[in-house]
Amino acid sequence: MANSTNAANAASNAEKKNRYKFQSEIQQMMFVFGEVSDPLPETTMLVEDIVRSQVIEIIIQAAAMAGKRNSRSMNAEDLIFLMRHDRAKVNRLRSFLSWKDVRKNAKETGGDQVEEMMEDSATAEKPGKMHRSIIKLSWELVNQFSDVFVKSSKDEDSEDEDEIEAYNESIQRLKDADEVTRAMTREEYVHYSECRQASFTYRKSKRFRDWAYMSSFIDVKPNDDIIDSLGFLTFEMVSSLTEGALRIKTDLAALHRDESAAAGGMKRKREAGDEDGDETTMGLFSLSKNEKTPLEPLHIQEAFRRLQLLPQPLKTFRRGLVRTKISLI
Amino acid sequence: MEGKKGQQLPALTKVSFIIARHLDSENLYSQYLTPSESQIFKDAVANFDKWSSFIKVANKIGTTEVDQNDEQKSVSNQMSDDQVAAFRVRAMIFDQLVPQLYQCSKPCCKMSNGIDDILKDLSNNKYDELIEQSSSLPEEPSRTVLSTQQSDAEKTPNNHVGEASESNDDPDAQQVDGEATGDALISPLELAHIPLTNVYHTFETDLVAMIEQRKLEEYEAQEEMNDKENQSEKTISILNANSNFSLKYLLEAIEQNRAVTKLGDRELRNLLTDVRPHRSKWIKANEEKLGQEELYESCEKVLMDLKNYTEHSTPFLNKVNKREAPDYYDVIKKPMDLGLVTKKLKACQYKSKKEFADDLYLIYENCLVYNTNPQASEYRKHAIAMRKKTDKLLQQVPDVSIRDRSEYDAEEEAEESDDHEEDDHKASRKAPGASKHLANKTVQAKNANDAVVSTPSDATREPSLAPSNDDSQADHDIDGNGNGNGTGQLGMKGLSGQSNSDNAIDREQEERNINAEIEANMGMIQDEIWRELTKKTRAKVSSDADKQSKIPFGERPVITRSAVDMKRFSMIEQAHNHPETVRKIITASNEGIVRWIEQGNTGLYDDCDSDDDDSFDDGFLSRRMAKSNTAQVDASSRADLYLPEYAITSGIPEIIAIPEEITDKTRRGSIDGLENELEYGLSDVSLDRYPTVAIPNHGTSEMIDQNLHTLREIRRVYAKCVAVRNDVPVSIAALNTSQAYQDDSQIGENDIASPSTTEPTMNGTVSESKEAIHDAEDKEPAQHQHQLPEEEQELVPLILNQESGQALMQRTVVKLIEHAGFEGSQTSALAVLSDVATNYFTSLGKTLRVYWDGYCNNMTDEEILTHTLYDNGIEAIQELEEYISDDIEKYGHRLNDIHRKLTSSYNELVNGSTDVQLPDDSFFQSEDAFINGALGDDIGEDFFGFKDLGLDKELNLDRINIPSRLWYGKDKAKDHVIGPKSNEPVLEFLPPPAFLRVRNTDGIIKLLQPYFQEKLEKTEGNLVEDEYQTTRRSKPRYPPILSKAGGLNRKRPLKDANGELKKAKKKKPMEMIQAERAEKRKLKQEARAQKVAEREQKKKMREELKERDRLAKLEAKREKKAMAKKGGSIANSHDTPSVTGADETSPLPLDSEEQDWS
Repeated sequence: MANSTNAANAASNAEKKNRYKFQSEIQQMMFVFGEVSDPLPETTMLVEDIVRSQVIEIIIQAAAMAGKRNSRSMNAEDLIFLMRHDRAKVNRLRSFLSWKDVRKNAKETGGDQVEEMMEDSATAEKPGKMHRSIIKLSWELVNQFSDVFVKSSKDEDSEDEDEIEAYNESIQRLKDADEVTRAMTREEYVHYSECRQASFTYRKSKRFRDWAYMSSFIDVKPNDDIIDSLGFLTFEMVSSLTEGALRIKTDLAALHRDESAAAGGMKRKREAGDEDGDETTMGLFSLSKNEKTPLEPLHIQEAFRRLQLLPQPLKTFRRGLVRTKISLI
Repeated sequence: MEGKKGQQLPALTKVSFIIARHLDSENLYSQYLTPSESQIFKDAVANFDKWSSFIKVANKIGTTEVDQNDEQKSVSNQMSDDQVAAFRVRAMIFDQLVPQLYQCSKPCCKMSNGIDDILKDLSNNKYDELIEQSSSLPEEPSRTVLSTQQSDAEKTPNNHVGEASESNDDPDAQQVDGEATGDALISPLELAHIPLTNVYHTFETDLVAMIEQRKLEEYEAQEEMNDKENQSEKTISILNANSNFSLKYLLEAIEQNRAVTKLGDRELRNLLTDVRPHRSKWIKANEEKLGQEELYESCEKVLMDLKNYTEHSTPFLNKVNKREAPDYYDVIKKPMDLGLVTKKLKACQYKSKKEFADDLYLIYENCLVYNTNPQASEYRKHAIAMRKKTDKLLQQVPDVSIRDRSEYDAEEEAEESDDHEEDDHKASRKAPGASKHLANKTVQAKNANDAVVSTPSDATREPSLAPSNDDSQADHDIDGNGNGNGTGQLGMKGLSGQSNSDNAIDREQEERNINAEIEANMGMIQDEIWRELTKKTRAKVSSDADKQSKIPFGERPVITRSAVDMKRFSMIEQAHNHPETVRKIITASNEGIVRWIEQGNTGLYDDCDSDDDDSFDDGFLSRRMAKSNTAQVDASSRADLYLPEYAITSGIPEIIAIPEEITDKTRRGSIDGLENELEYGLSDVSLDRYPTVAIPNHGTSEMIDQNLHTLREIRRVYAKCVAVRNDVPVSIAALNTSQAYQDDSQIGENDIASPSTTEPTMNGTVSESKEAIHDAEDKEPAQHQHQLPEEEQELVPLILNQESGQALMQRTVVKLIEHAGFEGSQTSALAVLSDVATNYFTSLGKTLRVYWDGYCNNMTDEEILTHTLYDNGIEAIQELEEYISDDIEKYGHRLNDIHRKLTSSYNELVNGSTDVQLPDDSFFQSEDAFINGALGDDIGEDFFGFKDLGLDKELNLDRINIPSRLWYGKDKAKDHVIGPKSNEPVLEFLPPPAFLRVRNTDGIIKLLQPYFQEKLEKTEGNLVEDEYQTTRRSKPRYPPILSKAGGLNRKRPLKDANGELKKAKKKKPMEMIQAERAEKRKLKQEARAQKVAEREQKKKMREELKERDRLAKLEAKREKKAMAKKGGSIANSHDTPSVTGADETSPLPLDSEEQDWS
């Protein structure tokens, strides 16, 4: 009896553990974004749950979009349409997808060509197969008129503004990351760079698909583009969650500090001089001031809540049940 | 009947008198009154006293009825003609005053029919003198009643009495006098004016119509049956009866193809008789019998007419149904009906006119016998009417009696004294045209025999004079014919001394009454016309409804609306003052209406029942023409007229309180796709004329305007690019787009026309309808805002109410929509958008209110504002800024970019590519460059030979290719003129004049004349230069490049596995390609064979090796034994196999490799 219950527990535990397939990836990603290197398991499980539900939501909505187009298979454009409001993200996604093509083509033609490709990648037009094609969005006004464009080599700045923006943003990110890693030791840096490459879907597409129960939501297997985009999007999701949670944590901490400062007036003097300290009383074995505490689930939850849609203005002043739907981070 | 408000009753007479005079002067009374009543009316109008006595006659009816007791009521119920007339006149006058009761604010139904003035004048007592004077006026002479009949059908609706001058044209029509009323049906032309706009028709006649229709159908079915019975005999007899061989084959062919043609037998016969007009169908019998032909012809005509006299003939068409009248056959011993008569006629059973006539009268007599109650039975009325008609028609039948030859011969011999009769008989045979004369003679001859028949001669003779329409004549006819009918059981009375029968029924009187009524009905007042025309439709509707009522309610089909019907209804409503249009709407088929609407006919003056359509290609024209013939079917024969009273599911009730503009707009907007603009003469003052609501031209608005301008420019250039690409002359495309956009400053005000196909126009204007709301104070409905002329300098003050607010919002939304890139939108979509925007702002205000009320003490202004914005979807103020920077400014930048790109690409397209350095394979990708010779540039080769010709120096071309614009004109040199100017420099000397086309051989030297003559004849005078001819050369001429181009350095090899240039493959002629393919195939086969061979070899090798191994092992074993014997170590034996194994294994791959490479 005990054995069986134990076995059952073990089985259920195993199941539960099996459900959380991307814990390590999430850990790595969160570390990249500023979390401590060993976050709480509850936090990561919560993050995984959130991400999974988001992925499922995205899949369902994208499938619906494809259905509106009367096509059975999803398209990258469907995904992009879902997040058309966030222009920056859209640009990033598009750049990402375009680089993917380049990588693929680079493999085919051989390694020595790749460097050439890198050099030439400034120009959008490449002869032969080495196109760095950025997906054209059908709802953009530009594309109405683009079919008569005659690309000539005279045109040097043939990059879209979007591309420029995306490029600038990535530069900014890189700068930020650089700041973060400035103080790292070599090993830390290596570890950091490895973690940076964490992805949900890189070479794990099957696992990803099973994890997200894709087979039960769409009948046609999504193509690689979709999976890659989803990987990109999940990365972004984790990043926004983590950053939001961190902000919330610092805000909360500041709030606690104020409260505790209000509670104990004696410590004010120390507070004044103590700008970046969290704890006021230091004990021998207490953690150092600069030690970061791991994120807690409630931070994540609050971050998630904040990322949800704002109150819809059309539904104000309307009585009755207002149906809300989950919004994509 | 109330005249003006608060008037005392005595003044009523005055009012009515004045109005009656007015009607008289305008000759409108004939629309309402029957001829006899009109007569009475005119008498009464002569002076005031007469009028008052006339009008007050009606009052007496009420009093007398009260006095009478029940028995006498029946007698007194019969009103005199005067009383009836009085009532009808009162109704007519009341009708004139209806508009005073129901006021309508629409311009189309504006009342100014003179009644207003009359009433005004009455109050001013202007008419008093007239009234006093009129009592001394002499009586007006009575006019012939008939003359007013003609004007009935052509009158325009009543409401336009005062305005329309066409009603005054009617006196001209009245001059038509003395028309034969023998033809009771008015010509179809007049029938075409269905009076629908001012008369309400009731449904009581529908049941009758339905029953009649059923009977008609039964009759026709029976006829078909009859026809079928006699079909085979008849056709063959007809077809073969003649000895006319020329038609024999035709007839045989018809006979064979009977199944193919849809014509019925009767129609076929008619067609055949058209072919041979003189051989009638009675020809067979004619050989034996005399005079049969003419008699039967005319009898048939009579019969046809009678049958077609549908008002009254329906009961007599078929045999009386025993179920309907169980004891009919007990009462009537000799039943007869028109169908039976037809049968007998066809069977040639009638030997004389008399027999024929007897049968006809038998029908009516039976009817009168069976239906004894003169007032209650409709049948009597019908019978008498039919009899009258029969009388008339029979007058035209020659009184020929058909006798057998034998009889005839016998008679001839017997009556030698009457030689002239014989002659006449003979003459009759030879000259059938002299029917009347003959009729008289034979009648006279007969008269000698038959005294009974005497009076028919009188009857027949007299009508040969000009027919007039006196009542006396009619009576005479009837009585005369009554004499002629000796077959009925009851004796008919006649003028000549026969006393009235003992029947209680005063037949004579009855007949006279009915005749009067029939004559009256011949006038065909509007109601009758309408009834006649719509009978089929109404019958169908009623029979459908009847069928429906038998099905239980739950199983009946659903009553649904149809968009087309609703559209029709609203069209009728909107055009109710144009009767012609209404008629068209009613008679058009569904397809006609839809087509008409789709064509966007703004004026409802186009023809919707003809199927002509100018926009169709000529290829369809013939079909259209053929169709249009069938479309002009007489309305009375169609069963699917659109009658607004009956089409209950399509009616859109009008809501009175809402001003017209809004109703119209919602109507327009609610029916998607069926929008058309109806002009009502509304003066739409656009909002932009008001400075208070002008869109400011600074800030965002300015940027948006600029963006819009850029967008338009983009569109224009894009159109030009596309045009160049598709070889369409550029100017036309540019024109199209420029027309689409009107003045920049008027955006949002005028329609934004859509060059795209799908959307109809937007309408951002609003009419100045403010005053409609304030109309309550306005007593005078005549002064409408609609009448604001455009020339008015003063603008009506702008009142901000819901409508104007909506309009303002719409204006802005329009602008934003265009900014987003749309070129047009549907009205409904625009309305939805502006509604959403309005909603948003409303909630914004409400939120602000809430916060203000609740938290104004706690929160600062900024906080309140930010909270409000947050609650309404704007997270931070930055979002607004971002919107401006992203969506407007950056958008503008992007648009500029696009514009720039487009112009540059356009220039490139047109001027030819000026690229110098194109990578090698790209020119294979763009064939244009290949054709252009741009690649020649790269190569340094001048394969067009321009340099040789010296063209480059002449034209200063730095590129030796053909400008692409030259490729965009096919074979007409003219098109190049429209194209853009080239960059070629101005030459010092004018180039030589172009060669003129050779049109004739005049100016050509003699030597070449025969040559040109030939050519001209070949091409029929259109000589085209060779270079402009469109002969496609099968093999395009390409310069030899392959060999030389191979020497260039390429960045990457283009050759595929077969070692051939990929792109060049396409351009090789077919044979070479096929040869290549064959080669490839061979190669593959060889490779396959090689592989197979290799495999086999490998197998062999392996087997050999195995053998060797075995052998080696055997040897090894032997050696081992030998070694063991010698006392060798086991280690050796261990080693050796491994060694040998190694040896064994290693040589294997080596060997195979060796084999491979060998």
